[in-house]
Amino acid sequence: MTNINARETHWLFVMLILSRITLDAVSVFVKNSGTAAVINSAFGFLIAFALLFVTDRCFKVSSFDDVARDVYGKFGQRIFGFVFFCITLLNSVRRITMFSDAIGDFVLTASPYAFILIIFAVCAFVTALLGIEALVRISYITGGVTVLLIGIIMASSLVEVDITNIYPVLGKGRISNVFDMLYVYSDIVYLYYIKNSISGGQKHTFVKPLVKSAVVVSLVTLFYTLCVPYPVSEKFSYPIYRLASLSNTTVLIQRLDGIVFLIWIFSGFVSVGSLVYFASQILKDTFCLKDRKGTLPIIAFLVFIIALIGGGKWNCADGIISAFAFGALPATAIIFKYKNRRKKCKKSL
Amino acid sequence: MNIFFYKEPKENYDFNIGEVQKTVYDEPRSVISKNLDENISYIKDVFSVGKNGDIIAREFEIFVNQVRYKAFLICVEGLASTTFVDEYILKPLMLINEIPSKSTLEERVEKRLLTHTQVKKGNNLYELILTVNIGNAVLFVDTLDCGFTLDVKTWEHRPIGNPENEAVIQGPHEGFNEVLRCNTALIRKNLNTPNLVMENIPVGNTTKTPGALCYLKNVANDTLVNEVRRRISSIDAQYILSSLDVEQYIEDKTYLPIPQVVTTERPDRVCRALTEGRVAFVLNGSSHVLIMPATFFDLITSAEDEYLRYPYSMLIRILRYLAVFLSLLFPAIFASLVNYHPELLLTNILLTVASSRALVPFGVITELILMEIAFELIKEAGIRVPGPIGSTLGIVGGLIIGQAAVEANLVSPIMVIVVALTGIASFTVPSYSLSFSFRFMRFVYVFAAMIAGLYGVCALLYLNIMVVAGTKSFGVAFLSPVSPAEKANAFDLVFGSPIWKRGTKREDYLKPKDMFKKAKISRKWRHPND
Repeated sequence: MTNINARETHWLFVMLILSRITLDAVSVFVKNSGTAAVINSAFGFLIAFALLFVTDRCFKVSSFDDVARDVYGKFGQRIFGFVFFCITLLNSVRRITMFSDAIGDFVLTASPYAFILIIFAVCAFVTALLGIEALVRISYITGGVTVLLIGIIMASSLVEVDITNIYPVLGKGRISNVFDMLYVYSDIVYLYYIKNSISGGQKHTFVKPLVKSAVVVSLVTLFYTLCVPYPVSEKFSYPIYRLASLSNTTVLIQRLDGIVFLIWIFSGFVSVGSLVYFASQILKDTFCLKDRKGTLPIIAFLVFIIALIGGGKWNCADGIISAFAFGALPATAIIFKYKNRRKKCKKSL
Repeated sequence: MNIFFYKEPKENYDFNIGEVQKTVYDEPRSVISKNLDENISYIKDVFSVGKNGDIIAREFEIFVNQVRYKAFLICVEGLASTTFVDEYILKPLMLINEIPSKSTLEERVEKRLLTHTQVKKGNNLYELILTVNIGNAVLFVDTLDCGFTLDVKTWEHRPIGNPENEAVIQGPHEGFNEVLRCNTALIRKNLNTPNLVMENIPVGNTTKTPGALCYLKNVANDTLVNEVRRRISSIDAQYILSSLDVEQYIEDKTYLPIPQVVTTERPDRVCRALTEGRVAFVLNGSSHVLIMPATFFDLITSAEDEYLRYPYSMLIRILRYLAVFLSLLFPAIFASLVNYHPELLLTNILLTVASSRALVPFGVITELILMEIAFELIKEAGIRVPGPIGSTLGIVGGLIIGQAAVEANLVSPIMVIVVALTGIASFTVPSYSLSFSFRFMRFVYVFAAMIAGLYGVCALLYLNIMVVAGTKSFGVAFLSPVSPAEKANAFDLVFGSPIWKRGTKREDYLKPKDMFKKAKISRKWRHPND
């Protein structure tokens, strides 16, 4: 694998996390916790941080496959890798479906769903084909633009802020399902897959992308809860689009909905493309294939077909990837560390 | 009867190129025979003396140590100066009859008889006679197994003039011409440093076109220099006539519609590039010098940006980015908005567009493509026809036909504005090669707009950026220093900065040997106590 720049790689994961916030993540927080959505997102960040910290300490410089092989054996590693591949595939399907739905609902209302989907699949295929280097570079370029555009939307919706909308501060008074809180950050799991190819930043690589994206996630959630009163806020599937459509800035720029379209395009293509890339890379590493690129047409086709047939049936993917990232992975990492410690003890004896 | 009527010839004359025996290339003869007649017959055969009207093959005699020797001189009329040959080569050789001495014939000829500044002795017959084609005269003497190359070049060439395709208002007006040494001298004169290296690299197996690889030995990265040298010297082609041929042989990706090498006619631009740690290649017969590696921001920067005061140059740069955007995307965005997303337009603008297009019989995309093709035709014709007619053609094509087409309701006035604005914007792109890329991509974007509106345009834009982001020119990412990110120089390069502030450090992505280009405080007068 080629060496990639740490700073640019951070932005790939920021984009992956932001792609969820541009879709339904905020509305999930609101549905779960009402006016306390921002507390929900903050809790999510803290738990994710803690779990990733543990995982990171256990992983250190070992690669994903090495850890899996060490913990589950050679055959187990293949099963683990295949499961991870299936989860990634499902994640890609979920993401492509959601973005295509959003574009179909707001931009190309008269176009067939398959048409929108096929353009997404082609872009994802090309993205994955060009590899991680091009992917992190485009993430770096589009990441900054995306954050800026989100900032413009938030700034323009300042006039709609009503502080009373956040009361009661504790919302429904309960914390939602843990995986629902964490799923926004679950894509960071792929960081451990490419960790060894990141140059100049092996230690705690997750911190920067997690913190950067958590700030944006929390701010968007806060603005949404401040601008749209509860329980009306529960009804919108795309909170960021709602925020954009609320704003009425100047005579020259009367609408900001178009900005959301750009955000969707950038985050959608980057996220789906990178997930397809990761799927091919996982498949290659797990089954020791010669060429990653050979698997790409099949993966892209699978993603397209499953998304076309399954449509909205893959909501479970969010929970599964979340469970894998913050359940299976930390558990594997802890077992790995425990095993290593035992080995060391045996050696010293 | 034939006096009154024309009679058709019975058989029509019909010429076809006939089959011939394929050329078999003999191994070039390298050994110089001591028997002059053998050499003469070989050289006459190689140069087809007798058939060739411009070859001067002169046989004569010289007297050395009271002995008469046969000699032979060959040169090309028009390339070599006949005055030089007569006065400084033939005259001394034929007229001086020296006092006998112990020195050999070879030494005598070289050191006493050839009263010329640049004399080179050689032992390879073929290599010696090849230099005749670049204006040298070659002398052979009987009983000697060596020859003498005499530099008597005097061919006609274009004087140093304005660089026509990179004209500036402020800054030097010198441009390269087609003579290698003239061009290398322009670079050396401007840089004035002994660290400047100009390595001779002939290109082309047959033409052996002289070329020079230029770099600063204390700055340029050795691996970069080696890579450029390797690529150029590994070109296995018989005829290389221009540096633009070399560009196509050495670039990383041929089918990518983006230039990966900077071509320039300006010595100052080459000098600046060399000081940054880049490598340049000058080829005889070409007024374009290649600079490697190239990034997107090198292609989008004009030479004048360096000479303008900071506020102006920053404004110009921002304007140029806007022009790039318009040149590439404006027609496609217009077509998308009108065709797919009219709700995004303000009501007044929408009504204006609708009313102006009411009587036009074509769809927006057809109208747009027709107009773009017409504009490209006018542009291309304007370049090909001679100067005064070219400008007339522009006026006739642009104004009269445009006006007539609008009045005939074949195109809408708004479409004329869109196409004209796009055309004007495309002229602001400093790199001719890059503007070609935009011309081509503009049509692709219009097709994307036709297929999927803004969604298609954005998808293509994404793919475009993705491909560009993944492209490398001689190991340097094409979007450097923006991506991969380089904190120190990214802003300076994209938006410019005051001359005293910018370029303290050289570009990281070139990995130069010497990182620092100047002192951190370059305006010492502001800090008299330091």
